Amino acid sequence: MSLKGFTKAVARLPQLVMSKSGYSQETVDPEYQDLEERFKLLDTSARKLSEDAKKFKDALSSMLSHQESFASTLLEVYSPISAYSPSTNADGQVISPRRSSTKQHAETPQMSFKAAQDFQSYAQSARQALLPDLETIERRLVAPTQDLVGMLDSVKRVMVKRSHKLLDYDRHREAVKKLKEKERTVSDEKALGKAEQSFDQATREYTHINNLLKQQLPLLLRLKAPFIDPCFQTLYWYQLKVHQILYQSFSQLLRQPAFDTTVSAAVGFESKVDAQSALLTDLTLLAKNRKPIISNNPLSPDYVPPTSTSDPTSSSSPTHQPPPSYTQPTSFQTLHTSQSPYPTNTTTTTDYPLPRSLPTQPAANCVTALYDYEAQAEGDLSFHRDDVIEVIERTADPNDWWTGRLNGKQGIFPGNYVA
Amino acid sequence: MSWKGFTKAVNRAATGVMQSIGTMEKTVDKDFDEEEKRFKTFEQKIEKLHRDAKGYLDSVRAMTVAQQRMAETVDHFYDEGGPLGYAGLQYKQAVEKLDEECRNELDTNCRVTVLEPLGKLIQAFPDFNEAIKKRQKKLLDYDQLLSKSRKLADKPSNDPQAYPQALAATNQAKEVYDSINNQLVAEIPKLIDLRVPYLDPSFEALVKSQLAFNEGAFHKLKDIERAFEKAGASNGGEGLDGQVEGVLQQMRELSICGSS
Repeated sequence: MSLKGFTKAVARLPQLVMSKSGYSQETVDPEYQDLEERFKLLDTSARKLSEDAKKFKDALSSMLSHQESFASTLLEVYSPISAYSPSTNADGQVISPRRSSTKQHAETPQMSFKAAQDFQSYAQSARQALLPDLETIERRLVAPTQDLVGMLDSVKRVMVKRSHKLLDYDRHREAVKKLKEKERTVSDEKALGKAEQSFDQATREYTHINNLLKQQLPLLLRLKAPFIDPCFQTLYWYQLKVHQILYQSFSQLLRQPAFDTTVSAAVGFESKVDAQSALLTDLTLLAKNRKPIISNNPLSPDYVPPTSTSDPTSSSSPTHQPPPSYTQPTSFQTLHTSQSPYPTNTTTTTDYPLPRSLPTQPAANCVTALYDYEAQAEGDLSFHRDDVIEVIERTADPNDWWTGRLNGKQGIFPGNYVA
Repeated sequence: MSWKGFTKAVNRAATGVMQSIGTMEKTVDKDFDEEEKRFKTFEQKIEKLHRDAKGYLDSVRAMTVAQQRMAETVDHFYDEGGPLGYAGLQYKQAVEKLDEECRNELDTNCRVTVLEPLGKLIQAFPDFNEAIKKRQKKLLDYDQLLSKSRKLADKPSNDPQAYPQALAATNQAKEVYDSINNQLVAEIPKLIDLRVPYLDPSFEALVKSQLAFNEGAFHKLKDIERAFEKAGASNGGEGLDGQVEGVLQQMRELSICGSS
């Protein structure tokens, strides 16, 4: 703020406070106030319109580009997926270099592929057709509303100026009134003369700006409808065109034999959704398709308490118990030995989780060694892989030490080294 | 990470370094490499598809909301009368219905028929990536044990047990690696091959819901065309060029709108 502006603001402050607190009278012009109300309405509307027009344009253009991009990605997905980036030859035909691989991948049905191709070309041409008009929206709707907002801003500045001038007018009027009412001394007479002069000027300035606004605001407000007319029509015709083009594209697309037009989207999908999700259940790699893994940990939700009714063929579990920490961790001992990491049986009753399937279940009190084990302390039982150990004492926890006999020797050994 | 996991990781890192400088042989499975690449491409494309579908839906929603708000504003502009006031009112109603339809039908349909199935497919990817990572680790284990047992074969150690043990360990590691490798080589093509049957219903539903939405929108807008024609509005938006500019110019001529 300039020094002049600052002194003005200071000079106006007392009057502002007094008029707000009701000590001093504020000049009210009802005609102007009505205009101001209407102007404010126009101002809010114009701002909203400008903002929404921009949003509308952006949304529309992103809709068209997403649609096109979806379509072309879909076409890519429907095309054979090769490990090598496909190269395009002069005819625009995609040729994917095939390695001398003998594997055959399922071909995309011609019908579906054609539909995807058409979808892509329609989406592309719809976007091409509508893009130039998007520019029209910008030119006839977004830009003019922004212009309008800019103009309304300068009107607002004039209105602020008017309120300042009004304050000046009131201030000088009060001053003159006060001086006139009291018994005047010589210096008061001098002050009165000066005050009357200032009052004259303030009156002139205020009347000028007030009249200007009163005269021009109605003109501006009258232009409101003529302004919106072309904007509105542009919007309407453009929207009509957008939906018309998209409607035509899609109805042409739906003539494809790949689509069953007799049922609506929701109904048609309903009948296929089960088949669709069934496709995923064939993938054995998916975690949710895996059978619950029987856990040893009583805290785990999958824990199944040991039962005596063990099925000899059902005792394969992918979770190999890690060798206890007392062994030298040679990595081969940590590896899985099961043929398939994921069991195909469904029985959930098992005696103990066994790291590998066995063709036959050994006698109840005999176990087979899965790994070599060398005695590490007095009283340990050494054995080699595939040795059959007679169990003397076993606990429910295979991580525990069990007592067994082998070749006449008795000793303890880690329960998870045997099956 | 547990101590065991840590030692495993260190061992594997060492193997990886030795392989990259060429002191250790590396097992290469071309079939797997090809499938892995295909899987990566496929994963990328499906994810892009999901992003685009979501982007499309979001922008349609944004569009109908914006046009509804604009219709309200346009209506305000006509509160002091205007030849197109009636058309504005009609437009507002049409656009409101359109927004409702979009929310109730297009939105729901797209979510159920396109976004959810795509999401389910995407959910499968982490499992595959996990398996690919696991395979890589098992392969490193196997390569390491293999090179160890080969060394022992070249230079038999004093311990007569050492070589058979190493051999057994190598075979075990190979078994583990083979099982996961074979599973991946079998499963990835299965996953990729199911894409068309899997996506077809969604594709069809998407096209149909888009058609239904655009058809509805077109007819709703077409129905109020008469309101514009009655008001003498130029057909098809011809001749609108310059009109706004003219009005703006008139405004600019007012001294209160001047840039003073």
